[in-house]
Parts: sequence; C-alpha cells; structure tokens
Amino acid sequence: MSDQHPTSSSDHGDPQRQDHRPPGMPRWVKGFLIVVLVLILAFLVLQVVSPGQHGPRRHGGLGPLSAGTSGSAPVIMSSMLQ
Amino acid sequence: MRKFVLATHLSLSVGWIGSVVAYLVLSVAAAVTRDVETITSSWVAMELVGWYAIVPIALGSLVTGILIALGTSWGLFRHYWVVISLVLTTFAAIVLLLHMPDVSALADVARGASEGELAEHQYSRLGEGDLLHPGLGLVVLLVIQFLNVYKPPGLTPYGFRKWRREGDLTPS
Repeated sequence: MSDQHPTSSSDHGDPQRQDHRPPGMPRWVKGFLIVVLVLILAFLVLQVVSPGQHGPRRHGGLGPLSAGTSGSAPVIMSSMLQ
Repeated sequence: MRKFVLATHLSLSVGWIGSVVAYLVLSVAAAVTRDVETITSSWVAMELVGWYAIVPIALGSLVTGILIALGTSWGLFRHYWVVISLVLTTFAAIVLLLHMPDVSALADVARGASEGELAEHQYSRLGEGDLLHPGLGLVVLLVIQFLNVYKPPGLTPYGFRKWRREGDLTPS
C-alpha cells in the first residue's frame, strides 16, 4: 500500500474532478463480481445436488464421528493396512 | 511507525499463505496414505498448525491491513481493490474460525486412536484429509496478494467524493 497512489497526480484542470458524477465501476471489478457470482451459483448447485456434504451448517458439530462413539463399528488397525 | 506496520502486514500476509501451504501438505499426506499412524499424526499436526500458526497470523494480517488502510489516504472504502481485499480477507478469516473447531474435533478423534486403531467410519473421514478449505483458502489468499501488488485502479463513489473534496490523496 506504500506505492504511488493512482490519483496522486496533480488535479489542476482535471476534467474528472470537475465532474460531479462518480466514475462507473471499472471493468475488472465487474469481471471479478461475475466470477464470484458464478462460483456462488456453482456452490449452491452443488449443495442442491449433494445436500449436507458441505456448508456452514456442517460447522459446529461432527455428530457420530466424535471419539468414543465407535460402538461396534469395524475397527481398522494400521497393521492391517500395511 | 507506518513502515513497521507495513512490514508486519507484509510478513503476516505472506506467512498466512505459507502456513496454509504447510496445512495443505499435511492434509494431502492424510488423504493419500493408508497408514493410520500417518493419518492420525497429520490431523494432530493440522490442528496445531491451524490454531497456533494460521489463526494468529490471519487475524494479525487482517488487523494490520485495516491499520494500514486507515493510516494512509488509501482508506478502507475508497478504492475497489482495497474493499475487495478487505471483504475477501474478512471472509477467509471467518471461514477459518468456523472451520477450526471441526479440525480440533477430528484431531481429537485421531488422538483417541490408541495403538493405531480406528473405527471404519472414523478412518474413512480422517482419510479424506481436508483439501477443500485450505485449497480454496489458498486461492483466495493469492487473489488478495495479487490485488495488493497490482492495485488495479478504480475509485468507489465514496472514494471519488473524498477525492474531489480533499484534493491530492497521495498516501502520507
């Protein structure tokens, strides 16, 4: 953030500064927002296709995965996998 | 003082990326192996890296970034690239804080795997690793990093009004 500021040049006679209308949104911002929107839509579609796989609701609890809930589930030992 | 904060911010920002890469390496190790000891030790290490490296570095990066923006005429809401960087950094920090308790829960499961034993459903979950969060997080952090280096031009309407009112906005 220490580099030269893009609006640091002298504004004497700068027609933009005389203009009371703010500049429009730059093209790179529009492109960025479109990409973000597409990613959000893709995420939502994935949520609909495979609900419960991921999302903020998943955070805060892991349910039956927690330690001590193995019950009679099959046990895997590292030696079995080697 | 401004240079000190700037140097701290740069160090923390790059450190955030580096620590996420370290987390991702551990996560990949857990995902590709079938060795229970490697899987469980990776999750324990991921929890340590997450809470003691990534979280403090991320919060430090967010705070120092805000301080720099407020301490210079870049401002927080005057330029689109600063606003987008702020939103992405805040989003990444929130997701990180929401996700870390899950990592701790899985690390607890890994610690409970005494003598290399895991129930099958635990093994399958821990064996997936944790690729989505650090992977997407790394992409977001790199986008922020490139925005901060390139500083693409563009004043927000608020920034434009300030610019007209205050004149030269060269950072002090």
